[in-house]
Amino acid sequence: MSSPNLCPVCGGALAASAPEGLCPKCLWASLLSPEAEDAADEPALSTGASAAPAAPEDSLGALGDYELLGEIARGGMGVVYRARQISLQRVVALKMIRTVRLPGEADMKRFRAEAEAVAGLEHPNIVPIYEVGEGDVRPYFTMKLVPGGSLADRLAHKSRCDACRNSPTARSDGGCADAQRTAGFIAKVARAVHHAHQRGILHRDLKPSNILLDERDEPLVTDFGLAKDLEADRELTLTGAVLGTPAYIAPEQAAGSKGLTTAADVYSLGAILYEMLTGQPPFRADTPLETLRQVMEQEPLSPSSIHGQADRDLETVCLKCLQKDPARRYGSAEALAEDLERWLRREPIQARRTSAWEKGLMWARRHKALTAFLLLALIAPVVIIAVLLVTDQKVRQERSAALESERKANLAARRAKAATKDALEAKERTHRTLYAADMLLADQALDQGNLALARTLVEAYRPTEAELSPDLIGFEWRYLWKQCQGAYLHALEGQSNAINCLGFSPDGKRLASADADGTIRVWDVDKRTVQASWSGLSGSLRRLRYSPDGNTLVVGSEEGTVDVLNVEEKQYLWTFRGHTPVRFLFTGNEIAVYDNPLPKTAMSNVKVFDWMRARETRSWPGLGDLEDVSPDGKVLVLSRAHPPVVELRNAGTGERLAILTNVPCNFLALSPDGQTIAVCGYQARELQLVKVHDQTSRVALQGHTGSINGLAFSPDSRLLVTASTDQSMRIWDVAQGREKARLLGHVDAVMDVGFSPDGRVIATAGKDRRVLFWPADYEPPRSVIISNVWPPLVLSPNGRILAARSGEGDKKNIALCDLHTRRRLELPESSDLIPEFFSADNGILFARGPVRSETLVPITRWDLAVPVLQAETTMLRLDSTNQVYGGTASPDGRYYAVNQVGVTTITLWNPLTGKVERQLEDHSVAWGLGSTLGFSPDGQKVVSLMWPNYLRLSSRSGFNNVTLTNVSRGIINHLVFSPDGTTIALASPDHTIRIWDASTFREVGVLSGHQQSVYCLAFSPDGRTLASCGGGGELKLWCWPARREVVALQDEGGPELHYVAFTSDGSTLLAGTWDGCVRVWRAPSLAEIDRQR
Amino acid sequence: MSWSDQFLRTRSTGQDFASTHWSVVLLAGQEHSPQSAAALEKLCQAYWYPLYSFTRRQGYGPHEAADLTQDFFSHLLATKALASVNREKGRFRSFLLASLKNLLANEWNRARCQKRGGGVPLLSLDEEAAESRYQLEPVDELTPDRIFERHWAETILSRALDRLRQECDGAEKTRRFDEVKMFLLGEKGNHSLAGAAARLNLSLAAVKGLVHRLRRRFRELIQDEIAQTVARPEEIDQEIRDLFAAFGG
Repeated sequence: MSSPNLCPVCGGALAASAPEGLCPKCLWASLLSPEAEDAADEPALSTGASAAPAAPEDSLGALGDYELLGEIARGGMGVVYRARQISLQRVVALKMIRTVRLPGEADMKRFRAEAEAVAGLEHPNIVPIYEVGEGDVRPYFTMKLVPGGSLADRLAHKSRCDACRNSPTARSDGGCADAQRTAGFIAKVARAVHHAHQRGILHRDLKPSNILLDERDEPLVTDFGLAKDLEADRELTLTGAVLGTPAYIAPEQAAGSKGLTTAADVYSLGAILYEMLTGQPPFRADTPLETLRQVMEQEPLSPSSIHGQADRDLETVCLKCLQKDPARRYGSAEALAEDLERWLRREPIQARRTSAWEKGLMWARRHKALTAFLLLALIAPVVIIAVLLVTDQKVRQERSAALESERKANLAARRAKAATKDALEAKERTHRTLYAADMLLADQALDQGNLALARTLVEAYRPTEAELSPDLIGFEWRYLWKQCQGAYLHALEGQSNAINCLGFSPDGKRLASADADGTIRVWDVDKRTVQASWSGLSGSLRRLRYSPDGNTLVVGSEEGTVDVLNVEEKQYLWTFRGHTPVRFLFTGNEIAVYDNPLPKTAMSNVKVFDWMRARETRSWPGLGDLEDVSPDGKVLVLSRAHPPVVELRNAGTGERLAILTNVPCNFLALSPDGQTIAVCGYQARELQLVKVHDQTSRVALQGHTGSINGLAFSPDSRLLVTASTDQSMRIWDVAQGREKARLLGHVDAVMDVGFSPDGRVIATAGKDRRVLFWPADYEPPRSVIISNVWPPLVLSPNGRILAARSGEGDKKNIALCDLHTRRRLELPESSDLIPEFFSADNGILFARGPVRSETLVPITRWDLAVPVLQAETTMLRLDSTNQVYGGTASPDGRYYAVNQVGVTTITLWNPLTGKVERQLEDHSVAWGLGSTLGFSPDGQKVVSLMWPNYLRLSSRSGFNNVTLTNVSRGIINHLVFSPDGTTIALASPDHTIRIWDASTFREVGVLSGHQQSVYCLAFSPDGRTLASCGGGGELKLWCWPARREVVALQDEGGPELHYVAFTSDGSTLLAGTWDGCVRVWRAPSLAEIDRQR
Repeated sequence: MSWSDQFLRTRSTGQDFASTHWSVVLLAGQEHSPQSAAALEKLCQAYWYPLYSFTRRQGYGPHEAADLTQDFFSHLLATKALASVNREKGRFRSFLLASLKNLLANEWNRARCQKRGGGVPLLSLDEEAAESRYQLEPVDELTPDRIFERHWAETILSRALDRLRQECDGAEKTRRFDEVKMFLLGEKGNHSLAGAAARLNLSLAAVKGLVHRLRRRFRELIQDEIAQTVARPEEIDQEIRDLFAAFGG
């Protein structure tokens, strides 16, 4: 017995409450597993234990007259067993049809009829059917057991042979047929298929695995037409795929066409021939769906272009079978067989090659819109010239003829216009789809810190006067544009090369940078101008520092030189020439360098120079790689690779002060307070904080997706900054050991980073030829702007005031929050009230009170325009005592409806007077998470969702209702009209957003992408963006014109949301979280964006 | 008649689908008959723990969650909440969760709910047992919806297994049940049928038969339990698949 707390099947932990101590997940899985079903249908077992005969242990059971011996094959549509027929003592193949649902009487009847027809086929190349039967509940049939495997096995074997270049033996193998054998083989198969066709039986799924081979390698076709209808059910319900095997089915079959003909089988024969000639089927993509698309839309490559030795005539035969138009294929499988036999006899074949003109014509048929557009471009000038000629020369003599011409010209113009419109629409559609795809990519690029890509994608859609579809760009574009701007203070630009390293002068007034070309520039930090420059230094400059007195610059190169120079005075002081690589550091008035003459084999030497006099003062051979020096110059930090240790040594004596073991180090930085070492490991993205005095305290800092090029501590040791190839610069909180901010601004790798001496500014050097300055106290913009606000949230029409319940525990008053000033005002005595809506002029807030005397609902209002708020109450009289659970107001605030349990009439009140304005009979509202009652923007239509999935629309002209048959799980959570009133979007618990046309009242689209139930929806005021929040904390933006997801503002795992809304100026998106907060996402207006051009 | 109908008539408990609890509730609609009230009460009594765990997961304390669950049922049973569900059929599970979410979103209605129910508990909810069970649950990253679905599925399993055990009346049958119930999970684990046969002093074939019958009966009982909560027989299989997703399957 295994541990009582673990499931013996899945190994998962078992809860104490597990029923009967069994793993609920595995129990549930057993209900789904086909084994359970199969077992349940096995009569050998179901006869009961006492009656069960002592069956041999290897028997799988029995089915009628058959004893199942073993499984031969298992596919999507059935299981084939080796079985012994007890009465005749022969071994046969038994195929059990697998279906999702068990077949009904009609299905069985059809199966039997078809099976009997197939059983009547007698042909040497068709596998004979012996018997058709019905098991307990499933149909099966038995047939001759063919021992040689299938053509599919042979082809797979051949491709393996080819792969290992074992061709001489492969060629003699039956499966690796040469052209002669291939033609003969297919001819036999085609004759067998023709035999079935003559008896009215289509195969419908010819493919290599359905062609078996006997001992003499003779082909035997199997699986004729049987039970395809039953199987179709399975294929369609489970995978959404079309019946058949995508790589081999005819285009008309791929298109789901019902009336298939023998031409479909001819196509499949061609596809098999193709694979035998080239080693691959005519179409093969990553997904079955993509393969189907190719089958329908693309022409196959000619076999000779894949396999140079393919015979041209056989290629012609093969491509004739693969014609898209069934009428252009061979008229019968027999005709194909005859042409193949002609080829075998070296007679001319009857098929002919497709001419270029025909290919063009076929292309045009498939691309009608484009063809129309091209033809239009050719014809239009001709038409115009014709019209001119007619009017100029003949109009006086033949007026009637002219009129006729004009009519024709008009007709041509109309047609041309229609064609242009079609072409333009297609272009627009493509443009919309591309836009949505590019925004999604930009969002992902920003996520990964790839600002360069994000910026390119976003800028491509910047609106200009001549631009297409300016109405496409919505909140998402403006939001992404803002994200692409970077958070830096300013930039030093105008340099012609990538900048490799930088350093501040000790007074912080100058900054020196070195570029890849060997040029050093000294900048005035305040004026942002170049004070001095020095060019012509050789080597790739990697490290640049000011001397402690600020007069001298020291530059180290990748190649091993350290140059000491005074740039401003243009003085060259001295050079140390070491070996690869070299690094230097100041230790008080001296400079320490390390140098390794034999990299990777020996330890580095450390030498200390009096850098003013260029004189070596002391050296320690083989000490290790010098990594950093304490600010007072007294402690050296060194690293070694074997074993990976970091050592701290006295800079004067070389004596070891501390050793940190097991610290793999690529490079490191010591914090100015000497307490912490930040180490970049051998894997260049790894970063570790190690406490010098407590080696056990190590924190891994993770986040960079590219290698780290530079790191620096702030002067107060609280912050660490890192520069990375992933284009980002990150600020880390040293004490908490976590990322504080990720800063984007560079559009290429960030090469170096440094703090200004006062610790207020961070400078970064980029491969994008810029130095950027950042505020060291940067805080990411706070997305939470209000807390302690509880549902329902109500936003005023001008987007300025948010009303919600606020307070502790059960005692919650209504609070008004000004989103601009963040001021908050609590309405006294409102603890029993629920905020409902604002009047259209933002001046009045309405709230609903608890039901009084069973049928009266008090509606309280506050006039927000007067200085002293005073509540006034109107009573709405209900017809029923059923519970009220919400209310909805029309956009103009004229109508108000309460949602009441179990009442089938919606009453529209005037909220100010309490008078009934309209009653919508037979119209109720289901319980959803949000409002499932919606008014059209013009207030003329009301749509509501009735339990459980019944959508009803009332308008002045009557009402429509539709059952949402597609919504399989639960009820709709929220519904909302698009601002133009043409469509309704529904938030569905089946993880989708469903789109309904408000005039035709039909579902016109489904937006998929949420991982869980969708809770709440909101349209931006311009109607171009839809925001949706759903379970798991997801918050998404959708491009409404393209009907596609464009931005994920929050992924699964974010705080759970219950509410989304746009402010009326379209600048802000608000979302309410279940823990009582409001988060915002802002986007600048197009005018603001234009100003920053 | 569809195949599913036939199946339920002949192979399940022989009960007509029209008489399952949720069907009775749905059919009753506005009529609020004693039968429908009793049927609803039975369903509520069976499935309150998933609702309790959902409420707890939403951040309510044990007392609050028990109160809210109780209030919720009081409200459901006392008012005509079901009147609006008479036209189209839906699943009991979806209905309960949507209704509960609504109640929680309108949690300030609580005081009034209590007044309606008169503060008298309508169901016997063992708050202490529920909380100790909740405390024993692994603390994981599941969302409230998932927790609810998972406990719903577990409730169905428990009820079916309880019935299966009851049907194994008598000491010998109970012993056999205990010995072979492991095989309801399938035979992939470490447990061998041969071992069970030896312990029960039966032939291997006999144990195979026993296991087979147990599995088949278990399946029938699960289908019967689910049948009580859906409106149409063809929804049973879909419900099994939907609930499997709750286990991350």
